[in-house]
Amino acid sequence: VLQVTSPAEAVQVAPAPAGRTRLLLVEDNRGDADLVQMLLRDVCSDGFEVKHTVRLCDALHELGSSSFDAVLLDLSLPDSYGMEPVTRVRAVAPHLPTIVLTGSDDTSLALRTLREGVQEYVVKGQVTGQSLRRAIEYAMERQALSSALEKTRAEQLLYKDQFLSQVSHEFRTPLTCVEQFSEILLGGLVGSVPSEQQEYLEIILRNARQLHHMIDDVLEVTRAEAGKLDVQPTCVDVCDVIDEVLETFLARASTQCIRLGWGERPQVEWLVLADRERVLQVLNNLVDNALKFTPENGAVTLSVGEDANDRGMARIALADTGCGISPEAQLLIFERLYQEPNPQTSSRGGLGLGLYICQQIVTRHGGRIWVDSQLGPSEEGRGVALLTVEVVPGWQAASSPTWKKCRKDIIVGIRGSLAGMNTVVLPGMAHLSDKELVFVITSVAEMNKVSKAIAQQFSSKHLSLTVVAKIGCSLLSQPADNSAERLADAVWTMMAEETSRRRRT
Amino acid sequence: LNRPKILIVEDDADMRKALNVRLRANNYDTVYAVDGYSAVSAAAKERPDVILLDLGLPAGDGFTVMERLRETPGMATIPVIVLTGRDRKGNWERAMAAGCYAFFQKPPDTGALLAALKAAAGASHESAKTGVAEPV
Repeated sequence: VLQVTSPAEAVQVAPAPAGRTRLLLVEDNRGDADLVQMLLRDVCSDGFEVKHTVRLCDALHELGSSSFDAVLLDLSLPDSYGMEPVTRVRAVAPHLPTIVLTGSDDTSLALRTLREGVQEYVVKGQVTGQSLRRAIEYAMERQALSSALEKTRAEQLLYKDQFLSQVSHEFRTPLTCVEQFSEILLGGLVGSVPSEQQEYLEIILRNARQLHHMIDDVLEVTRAEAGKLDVQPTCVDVCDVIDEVLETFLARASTQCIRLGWGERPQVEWLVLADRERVLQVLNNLVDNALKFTPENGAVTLSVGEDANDRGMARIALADTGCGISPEAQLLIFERLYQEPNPQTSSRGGLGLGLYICQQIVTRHGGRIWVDSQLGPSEEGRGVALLTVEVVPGWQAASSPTWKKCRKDIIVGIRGSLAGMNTVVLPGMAHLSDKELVFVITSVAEMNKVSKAIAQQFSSKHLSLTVVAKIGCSLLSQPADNSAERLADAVWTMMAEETSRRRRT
Repeated sequence: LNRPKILIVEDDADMRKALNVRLRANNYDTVYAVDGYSAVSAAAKERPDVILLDLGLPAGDGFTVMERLRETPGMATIPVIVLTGRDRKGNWERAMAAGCYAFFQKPPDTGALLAALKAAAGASHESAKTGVAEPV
């Protein structure tokens, strides 16, 4: 159904600029810089206009203020280390053709720079004017080609998403009619219905509802793939969410003679930073699945506890006494369109999108979802689905001594991406007076977005906001086993400094 | 006697019929409009207790209808319940900002829809009795 344009057709490479090629040369060795400019002058006397900078920071500044056709980049600069010149130039100018010009004839280094998006790798001692000119031209051509491909791909994805979204919406109205009229007939609104006809109407209604769920799933997947899966975290009590899920399925479980309930209900609140509706959606899906695959007289239990591997996360576990999941299937069940054959019933499943959606939702929360299961019947739970969601730091305050120290000033942690979030709802904000400090832990990349969102929401409260960026970056992007402690210590130090600074002024 | 009157604004004939049967069976009087333009004039003529409004409509979508109603003296306080095939995201916020009473996505949970209608009809009576919410 989707029209796919072949890349060859779609790619229109921009013609070479008519004027001179503007080059940014980043080279700390003045001799080398002069040599490069001389080589370029020799091969093409007025083809290139070269701007030379010695340090990386000057180069980044130049890239920000004027436009270039390509950059010639040395790797050993006084103010950078390793691949830093490449990554930082690519971060500032992702579409600028980049040629690494270095003294090191190292194949593995060359390949690494290419993987970072560099188009050409040129070794200083081996270069002639001709080969340098060719390298620059090739780099520009390659960048133009890959940009055009990227654009086409983005357009095709957008088209696919729009198509699926439009089609799914159009399905809703006729489907509603099927459901409505079946319900009207079944409800006896227009006269009584004989029992056999009633049974058939129930089949119509059940199938219409199944189709309805499939359409919802397709829409969710479309959203997820367009990066539009909406997650708006607030402070949520997991126990409360689980109670609601249990209530929803209790009647069905008892009809199926399955014991559905808590493994062991915690005595304390389990507050997590999550989108309540989304967590509900995930758990509903998991329980629905578990009930499908669990035989009579079995049990489906839910529990919550701290994740042993990542102590900043709450772990919700769902265990059932079903047939279990084979190791091969465990690798596949979170894939799109995967269907597990069901020995319990011969009924059709859905589209095989449910667990994929669950995974997308959990991932958007910065958590993870996995299974831990063995095949074969067992007395205790065999199929265990586990998922983690981030614990609200406030909860940790109650149990960890380090966080307890920080408790007086509320700490707000945000992990994961904020893209697509309209509002950032910060737990604990309601209790703040305007004298208290708020520390927001976030990554450098998200810092502007976060501070803007906070300023919009809380401007009326005149909160003093300090965005803690420097620790957030490394700790949040690479969570280690003890990241919670390290983060707490770093925040504590920073808060102490900030508080004493304020006292002095 | 004294059955609350619901204006159904829906461009799909089958959907209109389904709502019509359902509402009449639940002791409501129904009138209907098939596009945004006639919805506003029907509301002025029929003075319904509640308007059940689709968003995707020809000749002025549901948002336009709500805007027109809010601008018109006497009609600004009629509760509007949105029933749409469109996404909840974005549309819910917009509809709520436009002053809608409740928001349902198709296919709706019939029980919840009927409960919202009942509450909206009650609210409509209150504002008609006291007249406080009526802008002049």
